[in-house]
Amino acid sequence: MAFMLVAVILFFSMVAIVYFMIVFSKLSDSAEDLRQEEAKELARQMAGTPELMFSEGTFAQSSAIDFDKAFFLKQHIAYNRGFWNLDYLAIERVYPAPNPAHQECTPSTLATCRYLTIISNTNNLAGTQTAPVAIVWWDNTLGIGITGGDYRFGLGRIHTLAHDPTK
Amino acid sequence: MIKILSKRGYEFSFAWIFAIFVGAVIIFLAIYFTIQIIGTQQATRDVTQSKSLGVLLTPIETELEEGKFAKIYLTDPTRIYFECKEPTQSNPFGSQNLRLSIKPPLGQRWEDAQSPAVTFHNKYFFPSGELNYFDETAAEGEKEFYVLSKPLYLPFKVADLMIIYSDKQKFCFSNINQAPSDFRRRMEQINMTNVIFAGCNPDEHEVICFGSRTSGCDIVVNENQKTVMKGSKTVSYAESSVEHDPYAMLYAAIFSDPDTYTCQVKRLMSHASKLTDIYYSKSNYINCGEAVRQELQSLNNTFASTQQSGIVPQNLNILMRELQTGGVNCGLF
Repeated sequence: MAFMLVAVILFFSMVAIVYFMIVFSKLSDSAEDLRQEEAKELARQMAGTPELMFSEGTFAQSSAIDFDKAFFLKQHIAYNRGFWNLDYLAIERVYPAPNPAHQECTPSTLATCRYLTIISNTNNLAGTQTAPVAIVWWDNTLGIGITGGDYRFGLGRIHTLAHDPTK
Repeated sequence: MIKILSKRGYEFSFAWIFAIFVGAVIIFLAIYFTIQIIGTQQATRDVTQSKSLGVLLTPIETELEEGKFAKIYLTDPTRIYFECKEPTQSNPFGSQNLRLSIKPPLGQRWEDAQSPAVTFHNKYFFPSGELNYFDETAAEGEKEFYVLSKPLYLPFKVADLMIIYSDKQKFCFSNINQAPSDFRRRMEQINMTNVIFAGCNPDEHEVICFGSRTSGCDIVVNENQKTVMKGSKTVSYAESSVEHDPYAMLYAAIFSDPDTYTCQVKRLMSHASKLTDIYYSKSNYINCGEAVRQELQSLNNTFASTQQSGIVPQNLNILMRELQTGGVNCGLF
């Protein structure tokens, strides 16, 4: 009788272990889904955030990113520390075609570079969300402003990866 | 022969005692772990819903719109707890903590301190409610929560102010004719649920008055001094850029509690200061001229002092307009 009880306890313990393994893996999937969902929403909305949005006379231009502001934003380390809860944020110039020799943007290659990486806190970019955006940058060779120059429009992509708190 | 009288007795062997003891232990452990699992599942559900709420509120933020009004539908009565943390050296944007508590089933008591919080640094909530023991503002809803999202321009866009209240709260403007001329027009355009402009019932509504009248009013707006008084506390607001809805801060001051409003103003000023730095660098890059740079510097100094005090100065409008003119002319914004 006693040994039968011990056997029953052992059996149900093993059933319970299997059950909790399934529940916790579902929880981990659910957390991952929420992370991806957050990154997707952010990718869609990033062009409207005050730090990146291009505005003409303080009115926002639809889905247009100010490439110059994005470059100066990169120099503010306060934004790297979880402001958007992102591990990776980059803007890619698609059109006009960037200069292949200028992959990552620097102050001198801002008009022709391909990638402007603003936040890069991880090497694992699996799960990155991408959204198309218009990009705008100041071109001194255009227009007749105070010292010459006007804004040039192009096409690009924004890449976001949500922060993974488990890593 | 000797007849030995023997008492009738029941043999209680060791196996039976052991079986009863083990049975009791099993039942106790089963009940204990069931209660623990129920608690963990509730906490998991609350945290998941909190995170979902945060993700859900992202599309409510504005892009080109002057404002958005949205409803969040609930399946169960829910409490949302909002905690604002001021900016510090290590946390330059401050924090917005959000946690959810869904009403426990089977008539259990609603406990205040249970579910873990989700933290945001880029969201600014102005909930309508009261501070609890943990310095959180709690808003409780039966079926719906309402969210008004208004962009704040100083004169560039700083952030979206999210004003949140529940279906249990009602507001009434008792003398809206004394409000600024376009304020009523804008309020009617938004068409907020549970907000009326006549027929105030003090037992049912939070009554909002404009001007110097205080009797019968829960909230008093002084348009001349740019202050909003709630109970014994007074907060200040600024009318932002006239090209957009200038009353974003006024809506936030009316609908939220004063302590949360003051904390969020400090966070907003810190954020505005960082944005001013970015515009300063850009103004150098596109050669905007010394005048614009000085205006940016003056505005940044004002943001820095407001971040410390939480009191919005009255000259902020003048600084914003000066910068707006210069900035637009040189293509800064």
